[in-house]
Amino acid sequence: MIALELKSISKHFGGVTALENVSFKLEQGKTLGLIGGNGSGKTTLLNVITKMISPNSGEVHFKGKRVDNLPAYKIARLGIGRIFQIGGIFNNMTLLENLFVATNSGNEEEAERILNEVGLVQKKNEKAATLSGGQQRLLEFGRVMIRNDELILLDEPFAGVSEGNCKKIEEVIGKLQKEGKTIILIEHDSKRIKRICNQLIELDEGKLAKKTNID
Amino acid sequence: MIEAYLLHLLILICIYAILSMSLTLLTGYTGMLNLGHAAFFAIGAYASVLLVMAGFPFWLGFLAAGGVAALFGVLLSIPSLRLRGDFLAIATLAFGEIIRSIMLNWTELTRGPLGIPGIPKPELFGIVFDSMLTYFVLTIVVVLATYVVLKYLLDGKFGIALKAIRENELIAESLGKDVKMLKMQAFAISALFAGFAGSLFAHYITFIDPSSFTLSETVLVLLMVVLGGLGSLVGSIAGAIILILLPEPLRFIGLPSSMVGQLRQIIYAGLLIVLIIKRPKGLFGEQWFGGIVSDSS
Amino acid sequence: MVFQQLVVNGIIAGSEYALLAIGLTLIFGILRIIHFAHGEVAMVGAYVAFVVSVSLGLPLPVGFVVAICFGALLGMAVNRFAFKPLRKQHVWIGLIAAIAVSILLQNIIALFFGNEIKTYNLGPVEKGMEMFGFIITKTQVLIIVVAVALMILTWFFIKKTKTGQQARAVADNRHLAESLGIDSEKVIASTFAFGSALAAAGGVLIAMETNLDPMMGLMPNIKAFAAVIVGGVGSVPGAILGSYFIGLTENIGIWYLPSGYKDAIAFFILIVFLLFRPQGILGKKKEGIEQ
Repeated sequence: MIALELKSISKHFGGVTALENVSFKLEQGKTLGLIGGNGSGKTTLLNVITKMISPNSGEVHFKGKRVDNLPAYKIARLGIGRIFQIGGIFNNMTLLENLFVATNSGNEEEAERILNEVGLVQKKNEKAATLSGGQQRLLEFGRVMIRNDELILLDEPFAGVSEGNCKKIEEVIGKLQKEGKTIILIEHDSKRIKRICNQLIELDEGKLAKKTNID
Repeated sequence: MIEAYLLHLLILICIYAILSMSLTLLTGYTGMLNLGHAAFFAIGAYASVLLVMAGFPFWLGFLAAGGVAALFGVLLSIPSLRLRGDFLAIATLAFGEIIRSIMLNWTELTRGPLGIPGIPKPELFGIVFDSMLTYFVLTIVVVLATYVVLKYLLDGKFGIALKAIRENELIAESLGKDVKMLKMQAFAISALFAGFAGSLFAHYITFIDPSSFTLSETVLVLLMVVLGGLGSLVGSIAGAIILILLPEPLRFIGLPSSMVGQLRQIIYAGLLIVLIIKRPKGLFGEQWFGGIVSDSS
Repeated sequence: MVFQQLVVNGIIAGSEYALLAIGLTLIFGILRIIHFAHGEVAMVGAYVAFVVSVSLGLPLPVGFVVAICFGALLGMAVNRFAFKPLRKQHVWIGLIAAIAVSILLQNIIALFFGNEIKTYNLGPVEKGMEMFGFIITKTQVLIIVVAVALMILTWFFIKKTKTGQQARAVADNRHLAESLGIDSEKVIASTFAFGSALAAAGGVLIAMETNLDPMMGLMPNIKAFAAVIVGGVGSVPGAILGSYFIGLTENIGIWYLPSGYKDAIAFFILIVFLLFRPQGILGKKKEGIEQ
């Protein structure tokens, strides 16, 4: 089953082309690596999927349903979660609050179980601002877990993270894969990409340059 | 005599505690600075008075005070969907001034600058709240009810969602929060309680005119919120207690009454400046704005 | 009242607003702070001229110059003691500070001079000159002439002086300007001084046409801010254009509406522009209003 399909997405900022005619399909349960140089349009692509920006043309389909005409929060409610490159947590809220805001149940046991899985349960009542960069990223993973998102978009989750936390993050990704989640990963380290992903797309100046299957 | 004076202060504290709790929902939790809050207070006061003086029972006037104010709250939430920070604040200020302008000029309804005198004391279930003591009981009941309702809302997922909007709207939205709807609800609930406070104020003082609902009224409530600590209901109540009591000693040192008013304002304004520079988190609040650097580029 | 008269009244009001709007837009351009107490700087300027000309008995032009100098100092003091400690705070903390300064200045003046209305003893009420179907007094002609002269001076300050160039650089990109050796704090102080001097001049002119009271600065300042939004934040020509736009619209507006709604017209324009054209009439890009 196709989880995500992009149909000729184009996005221009002023005169600059960020994405041009990008189309691809992603099967459910697969992990897609998104590579390309700086400014090749990788983050813009994620922004288009979650409607943080609207494309100039093209369509986004999630599980066979067109979603690019929905507001951002409705897209999120369909089960699309995201980990941001920077600033993806609420600094002045506690870890538990950061998880509660992502769900509709205020189930504390569930939240603690998930904090335990990402190794942050001891800090549950501290403000998220006290976490290290890697821990903040793990908290974001906790958020997609509690939301039980089916499609998870990861924007350089390993950037600026200590080796120990990188390992932990890879572990968490592995677990999500086992649960059958569909994942898109932006990452520069080619070894890591080969380790984690089944498919690879290379963007070059907003165009889809290459599509490979890794198996 | 002294008893009446103390009860008077207690009643004022109650009315302002409702106002400051209602404002902290918007400004402390959701991060939206509302400089038109006095307009909700005014709308509640006029709605209640006009209905009661037209012969409707007090309970209806009281509920309408909240309801009409809440409708205007929904209206004022529209700018908040497009504007951020200080620009939203200026839009709310303009809203407050437009409402005041209407109160001054729609004389058929409000009697304009002449004001409305002879407002009757409330009557509920056959009891007339015409003594200081009974009025105090009435206001404290409303304060407690306001506290319980807001506490329940703000400690739950609604409050957490509002805080998330305050921290980062885009991320809140990416987690499935309907930011527009939440902002609208925040404005409506905040205005609802400010409207209730307006009704209690009008039927207590028994005279209202547009000069009771100026920007300096909003600033006083804002000061209560900032002093108590943004995002703390208990802090808002503490702010109301402190700021109502603080200037009272001025009455007893023999100054002419015109100077008392000015000194009061000087104390309030000076305190506000010192507070935001030296202790921006207030008495009970979380320091959430201390670390946020406005993105000016 | 005839229509031409409303137009002339609008031009007079616009000239007064423009003197406040220039300082507001310069300060906003550099610090992104809405200087809510700018109108109180104008008000204090008017009272300084009152002390010099009425209490000390010196000619009003002397009072005008003293007021301008005092306004510059007051502006720098407000910057130093209220805004500078709050740099890098959340956007609306600066606004709260400015509102507090505004209330502080209003009440300090009220404490010393009382709340009642004062005038500059300019002699008996002037009889206006009649031409083309409207009446204008000499004072009003003077207001327009002085305001336009000060606008030309502003243009000179911004385009031709070193401080003016530096101010534009700091407003454009503060970090870059600092990396080129510009002392941005000094530039900010100069901008406050210049803008506040103009505001004080505006305050004296407003007081000449009407009278003095501690609240006299509040409404003109909010209208000047509306003018800044209408003209596009940070733009001086925009602020001037916006001032005349506001002055004319509110005066012509009362041709159709009860005159009590004059202030509401300006506020309505402010909200409409904030919502639908936040970049102003002249502006091209959105100046970070929607982040």
